[in-house]
Order: sequence, then C-alpha cells, then structure tokens
Amino acid sequence: MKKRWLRLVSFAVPLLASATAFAQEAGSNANDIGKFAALAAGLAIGIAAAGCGLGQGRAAAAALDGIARNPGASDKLFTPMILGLALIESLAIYALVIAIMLIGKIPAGG
Amino acid sequence: MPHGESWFSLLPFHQRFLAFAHNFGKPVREDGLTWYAHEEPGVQHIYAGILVLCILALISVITETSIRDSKNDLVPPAKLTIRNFVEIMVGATFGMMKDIMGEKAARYFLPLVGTCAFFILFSNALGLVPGFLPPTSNFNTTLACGIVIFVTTHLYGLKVNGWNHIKHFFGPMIGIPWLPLMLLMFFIEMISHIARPLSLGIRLMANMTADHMVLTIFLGLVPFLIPLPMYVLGAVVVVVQALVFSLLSTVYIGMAIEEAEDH
Repeated sequence: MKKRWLRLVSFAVPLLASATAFAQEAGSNANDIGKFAALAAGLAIGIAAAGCGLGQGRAAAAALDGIARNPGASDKLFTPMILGLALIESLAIYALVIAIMLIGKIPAGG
Repeated sequence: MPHGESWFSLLPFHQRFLAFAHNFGKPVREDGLTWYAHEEPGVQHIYAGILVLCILALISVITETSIRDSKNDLVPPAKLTIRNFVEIMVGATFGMMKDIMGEKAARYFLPLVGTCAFFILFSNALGLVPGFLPPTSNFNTTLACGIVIFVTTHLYGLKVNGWNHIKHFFGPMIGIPWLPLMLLMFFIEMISHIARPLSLGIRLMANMTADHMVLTIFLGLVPFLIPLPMYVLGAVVVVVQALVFSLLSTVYIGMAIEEAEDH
C-alpha cells in the first residue's frame, strides 16, 4: 500500500511541477483582449445553444405529447408551440448578439 | 455584391445621399465600423424601408378599390388575390388580439398592431429576395418599432388606469414601513419594462441578420440546390418573427390597459 502510494506521488509531482514551465509570461493587455474575446465568443454561443436546445426540446416534447394523446388538437397546439419555440430561441439570439460584438473586438491579424 | 449592398446602390442619387448621411454623427468604433455588425454604416436600410412603405401603400390601394367595387358580392373570389391575402392577415391578427385583449380594445388597437404585423412581415420577406436586404436587419428600424409599442403601452396605461398604473411598479405592499421593498421593486420593474422594447428590437434584428448571413454564406458556397433548406427555414422565420412581435406587443398593451382587480 505504501509502495503504491509512493509510486502515485512520484508520478504526479513531476507532472504538476512541469506545468509551470509551460506558463506564459504575462503579456501586454492590448494583445490579450483578442484571445479572451475569441474564447468568450465561442463559449457564449456554445452555452447559449446548449441551453436553448434543452429548452426547446422540452417545449416540443410537451407539444408532441399533447398531439399523441389527442390528434384532433394538433391544429390548436401548433401556434402556441411555435410561439414558445420562438421565445426560447430569442434567448440564444441575445447571446449571439454579444458573441458578434465580441468577435469585433479581436484585432485584425491577432 | 458585397455584404451590406443591394440593388439600391444602383440608384442615381445614392452617392450623394451617402455623403449627406455620413455627416450626421459618427460610428462608435475607431476604425469607422458600426459596433454591432462591423460593417460600413450605410443607408441601404432606409431605401429598403421606403420600398416596403411603397409596397404596403400599393397593396392597400388595390385592396380598397377591390372592396369598393365588389360591395354587393357575398362570396369573395376563390383565388388568392391581394384582397383575400389582406383579409386573411387582418382576420388572423384580429382573432389573436381578441383572445388576449377583448373585443373592444382589439378593435381600437388593430391599426397599430396590424401595421406592425404587415410592415414586419413584408420587411422580413424582402430579405429573402436575392439582392435585397431586409430593413429590419438594422437595429434602428426594429428599435423604432419597439419604442412605438413602449410609448403606446405607457400612454394608454396611464390614460386608462391612471395612478394604478404607477402603483403596479411599487410591488404588492404599499406603505411607509415597506419603503425598502418598494424601492427595490421599483427598480426591478423599471428594468423589466425598459428591457421590453430592447428585447423586441434585438430579437427581430438578430433573427433577420443571422438569417441573411446564413443565406449569404450558403449562396456563396454552392448557389445551385443546397440553399433551398435555408430558404425554407428563412420563410418560416419571417412569418414566425412577425407573429411573435405582434403577439408580444398585444400582450404588453393588454396587460397595461386591463382593469386591475384589487391591487
């Protein structure tokens, strides 16, 4: 048991210590904003799309459940379902607007 | 043609109008581009808006003469004429408003919401025609529509409800010992009310811009058969966004003018 623990520690410590060799020197702030803006834009639209997909999936599932129970109600269910989908999608679109604004902050050639 | 241009740049007075418009204000960024879409600030949307206005005026004149000439007909013509299309749309809008606001208020506000529905539907549809761009893909147009709805909401809310309209802002409990709660509720309600025209405008603008961008990219890649699903999606988005705008404005106006029950 002690030998296994020793092996584990001797494997992990050089790994973690060498990570500091890859650390970058702190650059100037004017160049960093491009990197962070690009990362933020990608993350913004990605997380927004994930949330939107979950929300719209629930709305569509509820509408499909209703149609399966009562096929005659499919006409009455269609309009509220489309409305719900559009309103949920608008939240992802707010994130898209922010992502487009962030892409503009990436300096040309950066 | 590059992004942001359309057939309107072939108009004879375009260069002079562009130089005239550039003297008013300046774009916010340093390199001369707008902050939300990174393009040259242009006047194409103004031309497109005027074109939609002319199309709507033409359609209304045709409908009115058609209704006036056929006053004795009980059965409307069977084909899809312009009069039938306008009747369908006005009937659908009125039915939607009647469900939310009641019949009397729906009759009163039908010109406003109907104008919004028609204008936004035709503006969005103009973007699907190759070579044109939708005037609603500019934040100025959509924010103007949103601000009109905002002013209408508060104006008629004050006119119908008076002091009760402002009392809604302060939350459920009114009184001197509840002053911190009232202050907090006031700020929250004010932010929520200001977010409404902004959200109406941004939702419409971003939908149309994204749609237009997707179509531009697909038409640049393979212009033969592949953009067809994008056109179908675009057609759905056009109708749905007009519906969502009209429905939300109806809900906001309806909430502002309903008679309060007890608070």
